[in-house]
Amino acid sequence: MTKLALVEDNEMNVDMLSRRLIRRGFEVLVARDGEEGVRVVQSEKPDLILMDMSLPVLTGWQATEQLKANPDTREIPIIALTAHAMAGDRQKAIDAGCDDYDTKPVEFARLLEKINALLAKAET
Amino acid sequence: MSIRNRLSFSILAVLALLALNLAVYTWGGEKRSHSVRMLKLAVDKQLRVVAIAQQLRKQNQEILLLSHLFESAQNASLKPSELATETRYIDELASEVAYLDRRADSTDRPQVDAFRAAFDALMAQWKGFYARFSSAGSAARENAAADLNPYFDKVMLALEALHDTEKYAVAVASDTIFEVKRLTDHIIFILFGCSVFIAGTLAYTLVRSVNRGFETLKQGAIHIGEGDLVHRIELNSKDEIGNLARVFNDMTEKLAHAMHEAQVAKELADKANEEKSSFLASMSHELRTPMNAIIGYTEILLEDAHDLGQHKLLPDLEKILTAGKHLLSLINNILDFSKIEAGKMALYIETFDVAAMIDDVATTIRPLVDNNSNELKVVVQPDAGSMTADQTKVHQALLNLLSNACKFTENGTITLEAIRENQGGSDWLRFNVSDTGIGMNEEQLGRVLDTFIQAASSSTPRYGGTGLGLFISKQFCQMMGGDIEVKSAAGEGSTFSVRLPEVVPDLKHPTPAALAQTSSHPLGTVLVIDDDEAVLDLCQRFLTKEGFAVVTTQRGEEGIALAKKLRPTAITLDIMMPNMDGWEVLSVLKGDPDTVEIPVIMMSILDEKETGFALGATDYMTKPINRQRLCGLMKKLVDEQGQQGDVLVVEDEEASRMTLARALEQHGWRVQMAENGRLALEALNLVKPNLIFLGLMMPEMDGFEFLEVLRKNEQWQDIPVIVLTAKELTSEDRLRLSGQVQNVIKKSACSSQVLLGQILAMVDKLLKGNDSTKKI
Repeated sequence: MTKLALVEDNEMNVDMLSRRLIRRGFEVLVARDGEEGVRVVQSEKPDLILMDMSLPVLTGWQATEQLKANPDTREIPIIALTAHAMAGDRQKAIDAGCDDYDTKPVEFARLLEKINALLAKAET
Repeated sequence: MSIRNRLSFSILAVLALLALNLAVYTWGGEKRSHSVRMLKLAVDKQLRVVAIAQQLRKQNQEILLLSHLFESAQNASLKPSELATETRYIDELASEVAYLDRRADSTDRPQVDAFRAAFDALMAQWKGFYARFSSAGSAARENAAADLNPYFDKVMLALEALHDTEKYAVAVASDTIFEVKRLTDHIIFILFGCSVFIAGTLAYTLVRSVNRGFETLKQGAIHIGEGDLVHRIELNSKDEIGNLARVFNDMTEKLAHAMHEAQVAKELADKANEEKSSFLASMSHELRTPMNAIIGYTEILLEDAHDLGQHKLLPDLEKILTAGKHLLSLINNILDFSKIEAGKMALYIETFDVAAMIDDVATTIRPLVDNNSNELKVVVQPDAGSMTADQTKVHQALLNLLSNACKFTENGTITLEAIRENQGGSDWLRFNVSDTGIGMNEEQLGRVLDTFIQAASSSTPRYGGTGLGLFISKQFCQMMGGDIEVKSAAGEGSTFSVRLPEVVPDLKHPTPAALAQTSSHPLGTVLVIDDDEAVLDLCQRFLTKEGFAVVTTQRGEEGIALAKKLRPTAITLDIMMPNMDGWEVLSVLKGDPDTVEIPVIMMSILDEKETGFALGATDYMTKPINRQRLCGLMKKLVDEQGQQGDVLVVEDEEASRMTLARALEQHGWRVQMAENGRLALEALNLVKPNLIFLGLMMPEMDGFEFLEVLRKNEQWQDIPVIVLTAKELTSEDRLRLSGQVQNVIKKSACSSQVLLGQILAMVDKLLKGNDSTKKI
């Protein structure tokens, strides 16, 4: 079963996303702040990470940078979840090393597409 | 004293002085006249004295004669008429003497008195004499005259004395005249001089004090005018200028106060604006959070219901979802609108591929298209290419137009087109959203682009939505320098056109990119790729001043895209960049036929100690040597006359060395060869080549060391060096190649002048060779 890490501090978002992902057959690991996110990813080595950008303790950008700097976790694709239409944020995410981004509020179908695309790429 | 008073006083003083001068002059005149009169008088007296003397003598003679006569002729006597006449003479004399007596003054009084007395006595005698001789037969006629003589002598003596006195008086009077004249002249002149002096002094002090006052006033006003509202004019005099100064000071204080209040008001307004912004931002977040929950959970419920087979629940849930999404879009619109109205809507400019964006839009809108059984056609012109604009806004505007098209069309076709146009010398992108829906009549058309008004307001219940979306889309386009046009006819559908410039000016990094598109820049375009904003700014200013059009970017990928699009005359490329460093960019550029020919200057890194030379490759080439690539390179570096010149090939691997040498010789170059860096340096001493091919891995002295030495030498500094590398260049090698020292531009802008000078020189030189291949 494909393991996904969801790093998100908003409870409702966590609930909604994880339930829908689980329903689709993913295993979902949840972390509620950047630091926890890095820890969880490092120990569990998921297949993909969904990273909210505005997090407490460590921001999404910082967490991404850390994960990408670590050779153990560098290869895990990260999808940044950024706030609505902040192009600056989007670029920042890419610069930090994210492999893709999606805007919030999340359009589930679109997000799913991106997840599957990245997972497919990682397999090759 | 007030100026008016001072002025009046001064004028009065001058007038008084004039009057004084006049008075003194008159007095002087008076005095002179007086002395002249005195002279006249003295002269007159003197003359009279002389006359009297004459008459006395004459009379005396007559009397003597008479006496003699009477002596000889005893009977002779004076007739009465004769007596009368004589008496008359005597009386006349007497009156003359009386006159003298009357006019006698202190100078001659004694003499006049003495004379008078003597004269009176004489007259008495003469009168007696006449009396004696008027009657006949008097006794004692003899020697009558002899009795008179003493009296006569006495008189004459007195008269003489008097005469002397009068003569003396005349002399004195005459002297006096000159004295008086001299004295009065002196007095008048001195007084005049003093008057002039006093008047002058008065005038001078008056003018000076007034002037000083004015000067202080003027200086103060200038100070204040220049913005120094703390300055107070120091002029405490009680006169008009002082008053004026005080008025000025008051005014300044009021001004300072007013400006302060304005400043405070501005700060309050700014603060209010800030609060508005953060309100908008937080509202944005606040409103979207529950909406997310509503939409998200409804979607989950839909999925749950579907999984549980509860299909009856689905329609209701879908209605909730639709309403929720609609509400979210309304909220987004309102927030966008507020942002626009508050002037807080900013542009995020980036370069993106048009086709990719259109694809994205199409994917997003497809479900909505299908809802009304419409068909979506997407037409992207092959030359659409890429554009530099706010991608999100373009996306949003297109989505808005498309969703409108979907709303008003049923069982029809919706077409999305992307067309590149050239207008007025620059490129524009036109996006057409056409539908075969209900269309609009002229009145509706007129209103359609106004705020809040939807084209078919009577059809609101059916079609829903607000005109906000359209308004916002129009705003977005206008912000980017474009606009939205609409063509429609009732019943025939509508076409909305978004027209945007290919390159939207970015106010944060103003680049004359539009200029780069036109060929109005004789020197060409330079593309500057560097992650350091300061460098970009510097290069831009420097190169623009030299007559280049400059386009800048901070990212390697964007640089590549821009290079492909703009085909600049030259590219400066920073080596140390995050994400995609200069070497990667360089290899991409050189691997792409579109950009291989553009000369690239690796922006580099100056030796701290010896500022002023750029270490770095003009270009690089991978081994094995690709002849075509080599040709391309060579064309660039040929100098104008077509002479090929000398080239030095430094490479230890014999095969590569010989191949390269032969290829170059065939092109007409004179080739020197060296097996390592040390030998290359020796060769350099013999012949200075126009170009050097440099391998990196060589014994004795490798390419890095050689480069170092080369660049240190003034004579060899600007020889272009093409580095021959194996395909894999490690980042350490790259670092070494780039040089050990930091980018001096980052450290001190001043010395960058030298670097930029270098760049200019190189570009210049490359341009000369590039003339035949310049494409703009």
